[in-house]
Amino acid sequence: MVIIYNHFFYSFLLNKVTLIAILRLSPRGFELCPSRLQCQTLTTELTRHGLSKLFFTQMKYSVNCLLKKEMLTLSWQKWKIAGIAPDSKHVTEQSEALEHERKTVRESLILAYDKNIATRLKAEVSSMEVINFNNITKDACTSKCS
Amino acid sequence: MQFEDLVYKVKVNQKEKTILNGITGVVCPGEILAMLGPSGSGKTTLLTALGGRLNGKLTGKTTYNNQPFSGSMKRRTGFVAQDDVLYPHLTVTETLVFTALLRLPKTLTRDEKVVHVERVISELGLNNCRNSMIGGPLLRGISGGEKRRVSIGQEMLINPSLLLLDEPTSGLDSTTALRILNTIKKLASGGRTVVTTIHQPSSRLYYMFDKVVLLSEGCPIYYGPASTALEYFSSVGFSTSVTVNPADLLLDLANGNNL
Repeated sequence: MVIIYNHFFYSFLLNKVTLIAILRLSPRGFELCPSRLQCQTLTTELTRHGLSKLFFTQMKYSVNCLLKKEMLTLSWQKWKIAGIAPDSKHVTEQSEALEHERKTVRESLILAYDKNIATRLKAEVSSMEVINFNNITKDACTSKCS
Repeated sequence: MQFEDLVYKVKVNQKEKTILNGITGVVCPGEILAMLGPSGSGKTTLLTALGGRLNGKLTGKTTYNNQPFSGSMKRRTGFVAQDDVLYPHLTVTETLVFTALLRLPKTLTRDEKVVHVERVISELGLNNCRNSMIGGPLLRGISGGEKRRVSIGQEMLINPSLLLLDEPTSGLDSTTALRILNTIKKLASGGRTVVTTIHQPSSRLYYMFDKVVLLSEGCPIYYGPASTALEYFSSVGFSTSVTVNPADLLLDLANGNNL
């Protein structure tokens, strides 16, 4: 059941429990209001009523307040059936999309590492070869047993 | 210690799987390098490789003080495994004396070895439980944190120049974990090189590390000072506006979760 506050904001009744999910209309669909406080309130409410983050992640809808605004976009139709478990085909599609996104993130991080760190690090390793640490001694050492 | 382009592959069902893919790094005496990453990312494999204990197809170059791995280096390396393998019926002192008798050179007398054990007990803050039994599933003994310290103590007896620790804080509460890491930090500041894997450090623990290598399915995605990791990820487009434990954020990224 959906209660329309006004043209831009909505509040939801889900399983007879009021969830404070405030959505904003955007060109890409509906976005969760990115206020940290509101996200936290929502997360607390969801957890209190036994609705895990996983469930919403499967719906490609995350309640994690760390997510970027664009990530919070969700389809109105999907949200309307959010109180009902999604069908398995839908879940498969969502998990494939999620897996693809993870792969993309990983690949971009690996590329960034190669570009920004690897070269500098190799140069550092080469320069370290001339440094000898033999003259460094450690404490708590008895000469007989080391 | 330097390691360059470490690659480790295994064969699974006739298929070759890359466990470590081009890991490079440097750790100097007095520094702690932490290896972070989700389960199965290759942390323990990398630690085992650095300890010269990995059998199989490992390529790349690892040098210790510009020397390749040797028997002499192995003797100066302490390796604390993830599981504490201790005799449950021995006390803390008995455990360490037993280890000292086995591992310290024959040139030392028994009394000298006992003196060495006393020093380690004191250094690791085990004085309060020195006469308590280790314990096991059927026998109540010392706490998990104390067991970890006994395991570290067993390696400390040989006064290692390089100390490798696999998950030294796993299963411990944050206060005990902090205490263990303080001990490790003290050992490092005494001129030792410390490399440790860690699963989910609290922010207090995270900032105690000098360097961090972040692994994602065997590939490095960050290497550098622990204090600048967030800055780096922010510079490559993965930033967050809220204050969180940096280790959590790094693990999210290593798992491929966008921020």
